[in-house]
Amino acid sequence: MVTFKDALKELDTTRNRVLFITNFLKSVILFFILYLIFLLINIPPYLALPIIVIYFVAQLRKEIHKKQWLDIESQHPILKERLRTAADTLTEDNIIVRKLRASVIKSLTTIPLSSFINLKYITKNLFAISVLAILAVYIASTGFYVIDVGGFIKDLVTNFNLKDKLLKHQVPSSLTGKVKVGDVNENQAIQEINNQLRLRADLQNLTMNEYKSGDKTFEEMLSKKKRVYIRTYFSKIRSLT
Amino acid sequence: MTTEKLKEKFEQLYKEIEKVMIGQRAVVEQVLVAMLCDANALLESYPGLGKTSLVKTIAEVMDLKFARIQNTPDLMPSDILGTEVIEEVNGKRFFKFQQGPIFANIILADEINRATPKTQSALLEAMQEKQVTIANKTYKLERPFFVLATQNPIEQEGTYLLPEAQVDRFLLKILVTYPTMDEEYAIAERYSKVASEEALRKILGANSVLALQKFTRQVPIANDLIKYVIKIVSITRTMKDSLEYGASPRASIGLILAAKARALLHGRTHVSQEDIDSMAFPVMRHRLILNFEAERKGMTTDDVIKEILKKIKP
Repeated sequence: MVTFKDALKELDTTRNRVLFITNFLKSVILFFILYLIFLLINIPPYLALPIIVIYFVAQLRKEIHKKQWLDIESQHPILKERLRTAADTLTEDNIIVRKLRASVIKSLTTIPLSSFINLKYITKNLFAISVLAILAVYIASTGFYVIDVGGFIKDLVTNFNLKDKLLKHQVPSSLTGKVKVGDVNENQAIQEINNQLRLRADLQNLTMNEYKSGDKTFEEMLSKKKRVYIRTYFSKIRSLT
Repeated sequence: MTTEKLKEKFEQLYKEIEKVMIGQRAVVEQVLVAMLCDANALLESYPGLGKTSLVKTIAEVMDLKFARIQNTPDLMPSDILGTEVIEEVNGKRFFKFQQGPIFANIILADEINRATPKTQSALLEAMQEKQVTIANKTYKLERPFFVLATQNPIEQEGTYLLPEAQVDRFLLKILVTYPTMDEEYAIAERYSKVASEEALRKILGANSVLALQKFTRQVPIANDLIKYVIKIVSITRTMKDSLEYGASPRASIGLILAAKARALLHGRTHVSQEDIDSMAFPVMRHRLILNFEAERKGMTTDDVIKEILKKIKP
């Protein structure tokens, strides 16, 4: 003889299975939609998978924790209010409660298992999945996209990195004594040469104007700052040799 | 006894009562609800609407002892509870307790607001404790014990209104309205022709009533319906725009119990939302106090309860 507790357990298990299937189908459809969107905007489509996995888990949890008896009663009005009253009073035992449980079990036996599964809904979902899958394969094979969002993001990242490096009036780190390893290829020697080349370019720019007038000595025409640069440059060359 | 058989019994009960009381099915149902909850009810009605007939009929059909107390300002507590009288037997004198009208199963305390506060409290105490103490002796009242107190909504001059704390002890406040045209036609036709009352069958007995009271408390209720009841009652404490004071937790207990009794009367093995919505009015109308603003607008406590039921869903 089926006890009421067993009947409730079976009902709960059936409901959870149905929820799993319906949520899985919903997630697959959403996955394909997201996959298509990512293809059309040239973003790696595999990124859709973790998003959908998170969605599936969250949605399933939410559905399972919903008031399950109310959910079942809304699908089967024959059980209205009786199922959750019987489920909430499992610890009670009297004539009326026993009568209620018996009536609920009797009603449950008249409800076919297929009524828990919405066949129309599942058929529609499977059809939608097939259509979306075909579309996804076709678009992936042609490499077609509408907007190149992926490319835009890549350019943005690259530009951002270069911009960092091209900051104006930056004193070469070798002159300040703060050589940054990792500035250029993590090689200090190359960093030094790079700084010198930059300094040479700076000097070229600096001296161009001064070269035009030849009355005063070259040194006299230079500002103090520039003289410091030149002296430091020659001292560095000397130290290298 | 199965719930189907119970429903049949109740239908027979209604049929017998209808031989005397025409219409007022809702009033009869509410009185039966109060009896099944082992509680008392306050009936508010204009004179001549069959209150005494109703209670007498119920007592007869349930084979219960009936007593009527006509409250007047000069009524003393001993007139209700009883008193000790001197008796002489074989030359020996002794005090013998003479029971008052309260020693019945169903008491109709007519126009309770006419009795003095002292007399009112004697009755209310007996209602609450189901026992009477006179001259240091305690006398238990026979079970089932049920008091139906009545109040006249007009002629309030010279009356002693029951304080809110006392009114709260009544499970239900039942409003008796005038009969419909058809009902009044049937009443006028019948009672202008029939001289004597028809003999009524006894459907239930005292022990059956006691068993039914036990069954009532066993009727199961879902947890979300209990929360629904608590929501209804607790919101009355925050409605400051229309209520001065809201209902106490006694109202929550009363509403759940009354809903269980109604479910049993309808032959159901569970409490439904319909039971709670239906019983909310008689359970709560006397436990809410309107503020001046609401009274100025001409609102009643029933209007407030209607508003609450519209707002809240289980």
